[in-house]
Amino acid sequence: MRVEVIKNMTKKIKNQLYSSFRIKLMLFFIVVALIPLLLFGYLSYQKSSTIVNRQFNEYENFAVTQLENQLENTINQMFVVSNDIHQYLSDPTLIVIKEEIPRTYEGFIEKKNFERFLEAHKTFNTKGIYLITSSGYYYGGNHLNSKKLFQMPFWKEASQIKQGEHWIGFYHADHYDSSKPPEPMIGLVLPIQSQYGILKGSKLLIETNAEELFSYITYLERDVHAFVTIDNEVGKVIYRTEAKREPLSSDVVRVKNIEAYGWKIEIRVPKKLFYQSSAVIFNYTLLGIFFLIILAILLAIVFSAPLAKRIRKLKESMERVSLGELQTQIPVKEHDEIGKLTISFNQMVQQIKELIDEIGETERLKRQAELRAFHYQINPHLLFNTLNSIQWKARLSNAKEVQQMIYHLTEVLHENLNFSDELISLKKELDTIRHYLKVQEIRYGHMFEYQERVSPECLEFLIPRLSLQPLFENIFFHAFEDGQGIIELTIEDKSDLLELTLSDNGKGMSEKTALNLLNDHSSNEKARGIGVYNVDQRLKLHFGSEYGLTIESEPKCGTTFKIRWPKRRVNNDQSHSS
Amino acid sequence: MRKISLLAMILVLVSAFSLAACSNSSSGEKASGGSGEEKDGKGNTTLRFATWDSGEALKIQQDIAKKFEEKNPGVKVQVEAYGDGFDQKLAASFGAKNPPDMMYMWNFPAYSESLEPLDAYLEGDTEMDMDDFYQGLFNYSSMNGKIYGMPAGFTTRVVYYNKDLFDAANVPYPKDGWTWDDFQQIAKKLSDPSKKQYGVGIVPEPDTYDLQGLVWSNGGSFISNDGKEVKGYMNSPKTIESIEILSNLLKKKSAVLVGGKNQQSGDDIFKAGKIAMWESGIWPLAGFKEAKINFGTVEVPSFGAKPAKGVIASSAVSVAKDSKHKELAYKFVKFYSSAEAIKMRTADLPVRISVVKEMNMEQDLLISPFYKMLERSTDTPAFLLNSNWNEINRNLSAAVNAVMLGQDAEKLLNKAVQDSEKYMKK
Repeated sequence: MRVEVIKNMTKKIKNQLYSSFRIKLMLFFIVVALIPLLLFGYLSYQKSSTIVNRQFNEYENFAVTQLENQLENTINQMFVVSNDIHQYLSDPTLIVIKEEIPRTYEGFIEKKNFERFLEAHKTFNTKGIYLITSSGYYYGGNHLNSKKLFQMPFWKEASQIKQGEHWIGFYHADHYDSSKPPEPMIGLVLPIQSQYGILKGSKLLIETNAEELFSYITYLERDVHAFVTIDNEVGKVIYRTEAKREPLSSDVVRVKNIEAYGWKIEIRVPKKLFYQSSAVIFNYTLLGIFFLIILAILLAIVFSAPLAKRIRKLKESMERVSLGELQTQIPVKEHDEIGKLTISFNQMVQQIKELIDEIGETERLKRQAELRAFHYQINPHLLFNTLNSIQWKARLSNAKEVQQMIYHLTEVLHENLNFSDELISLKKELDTIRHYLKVQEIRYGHMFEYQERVSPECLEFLIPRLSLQPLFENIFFHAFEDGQGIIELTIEDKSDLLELTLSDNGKGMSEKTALNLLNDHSSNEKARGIGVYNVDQRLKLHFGSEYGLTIESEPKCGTTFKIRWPKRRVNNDQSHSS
Repeated sequence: MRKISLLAMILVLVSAFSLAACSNSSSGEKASGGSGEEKDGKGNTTLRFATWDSGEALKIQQDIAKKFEEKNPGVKVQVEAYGDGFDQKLAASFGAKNPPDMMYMWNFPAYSESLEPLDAYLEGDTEMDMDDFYQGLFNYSSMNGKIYGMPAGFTTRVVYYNKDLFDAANVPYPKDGWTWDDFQQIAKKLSDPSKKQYGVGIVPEPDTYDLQGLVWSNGGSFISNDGKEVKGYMNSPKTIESIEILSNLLKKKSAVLVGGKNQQSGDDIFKAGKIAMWESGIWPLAGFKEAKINFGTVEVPSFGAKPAKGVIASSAVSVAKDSKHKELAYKFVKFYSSAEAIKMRTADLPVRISVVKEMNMEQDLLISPFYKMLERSTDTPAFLLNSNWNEINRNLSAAVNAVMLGQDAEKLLNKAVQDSEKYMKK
């Protein structure tokens, strides 16, 4: 049941969809616009996202490489410096620190020399190089506050390392007497291996400003949304991005090892963020496609509306025509396909109108003929009975000729007044003509000659009643004088039609007269040739306008009537025979 | 109709094409823009300016640099604050042939070879009124008769005194023209070791530069005026006597050592009201005012009838010889010593007479001693007289430091002279 409903619905929608030309056109526009659009959208998305991702990778690579180089250089530098200083301190020919805290002239000279030595090892980013004794006194400037330093977590951690080891790490230097916020530092702590008691427990601290290092880390964290982890050689975390996020397996991970010190830098970028830029491009492409679809719809509406309007107009006109408004004509403005269609439609309507007018006229004529027929039919019995009585009286009076005449006349009239069958066999028609000729013979005497050449197989074909008599009448009235002349009747079988030729050797007539004979004279009944016209019309009515009567005549050279009509047998036309 | 639909189709196609192209090119631009940011796309010239200042003083300099940028469109001034690593970083950058275009400068003997002499620029500059500057300041920024830096600010040294402590001890405030005898007596009266309160604070490892005023006041000196002799100067009785004044104050517990390693600075202890007198430059003045200390300033004491002498700490601005934009750098230096910039510098004292007059600074009781001391600062500091002063000074400093710890001044200064003989050019 539900399936039915859905089927119906889809059918309805389908109908709706296919029934509107405008919707079809719109769909066409959209499809045409969408194919290249999707293609180019896809291509441009692919291309640009590839480029962006590659660039992103390059930036990230650059930053990571910078970080790595910077870190490596810094650590290297600090190592070299620490080794150098350590060497210097363990060489008694170079330095003799006899007092932990200088108090004498010599002590101050040693201190100054040593501090000069330390100073010479500073580079651009070196914050300080200090030799810090266990009591908190230090060599190397005046700015350090060793009390604060001893409280620093990193120092506490670094103090626990054994001799021969070193500590390297990041921290914020909060051990300076300064109003400035603590600066990020990378520091190296090295316990001094001293055979002299004074420096026992002393540590060398080398601090390098790590702002630049952190700027790379910050760049990675902020601009690349990376999570940076730096592990030292024993796997201890030296730096880790502060984030409330667990590492995911989908992250894009990059691991770099600083081989010299076994440090490991891990850069972890969430996949989503890694492909963020291409996602943006994707969204824009989608947006572009969306707007283009709207554009396509608008264009389809704009361009299909007039087209659809014209077709709708055509359809409306057709509906009007089907309702009978045959005078409908559509103005043609453009000569494209629809224009041509409109012209054809206009022509068709015109033709239909003409055809209908013609049919109307034919029907009118038929009705008229029928009316007339009724009129003639009024009382044939009276006439026949009277004529029979006269015939009998003539026979009784032995007026044989009169009796013969009336007999033939009665036969002719009988045919003339018979309206039952419109089509009769050729044989019957020829019989009637023979009776008619008998009447004429009695009238005029043996003045004319009648020759009949009819093949017997033609006799069964049908011909409209009284088709020949008017032609004979025309011959007797107009062609012959006092009934004198020769009449020839030939009927030929021309495969699919019959041709009847009736010629005389009478006066003949002009072409104009001949044409006039075939024209309508219904308004003037007394005019000559109404019978001939009727014959032609009746043939055309029965068999179609391509059949009918033709006249060939020249004055003084006789006249030839030719009738052509299709073969039709009695059994072919049951309605007529019954 | 057919043509129109064809046209429409083409239109749709073209728009699709162009849109696709648009999105493509814009994304390309975006991507390339990212890499281009590192360069300066606008063709700006960047001037680098190195300073040792930090905190408030640094902020002032950044403001002046910004003013300069406003007046010179297309020029960007990058202020590089080297802080206490100034010498180390400056030396490194000179060594790397990549020095800042302009820099703060005081140690002209050490750096003059790397600096651009400004005389040619100054002579060609009609706007520059050299007479408006305190002429003594040029002594500090000239070498061998050439000016290597334009004075930007300066300070002399005065004695700050805590009026509340004086009032509490019923001691009259010191007046200009007082003597070291007065000073010692006052210090004695204002010291109360049981309350950890002392008459004066003394730095355990003082910069010998700052001691020169004291030595000069006594008619002594660290070096001969021609810079060729320390013997008989550094260890002269007058020099010894003046240094011993400080060690004696400590011995008598009229003074306390402040500002050594892991110690509170003298400024902070003065603020805390634990020392009554404190000899310093202009630097802590604003901080004392801010801390609402009831204090006064006075010229340094004299030795009897001998005139008191002072020493100037000046900051000049110099142009590096290796700068690629020397003309522009000079323009910056000129702006830095203009009245407008000098007025913005509130951390030290104006170098232009007209600005001092305009701002009535000589009438300011706290400020006027500094200008009186400026008039007294006529002697040439030792570092300008001998190019080996750094080495000599190490010995002198060692001696002075040991003296401050109570050792014999005469013996140590003799030793310092003896150890310095090898640095003297004969």
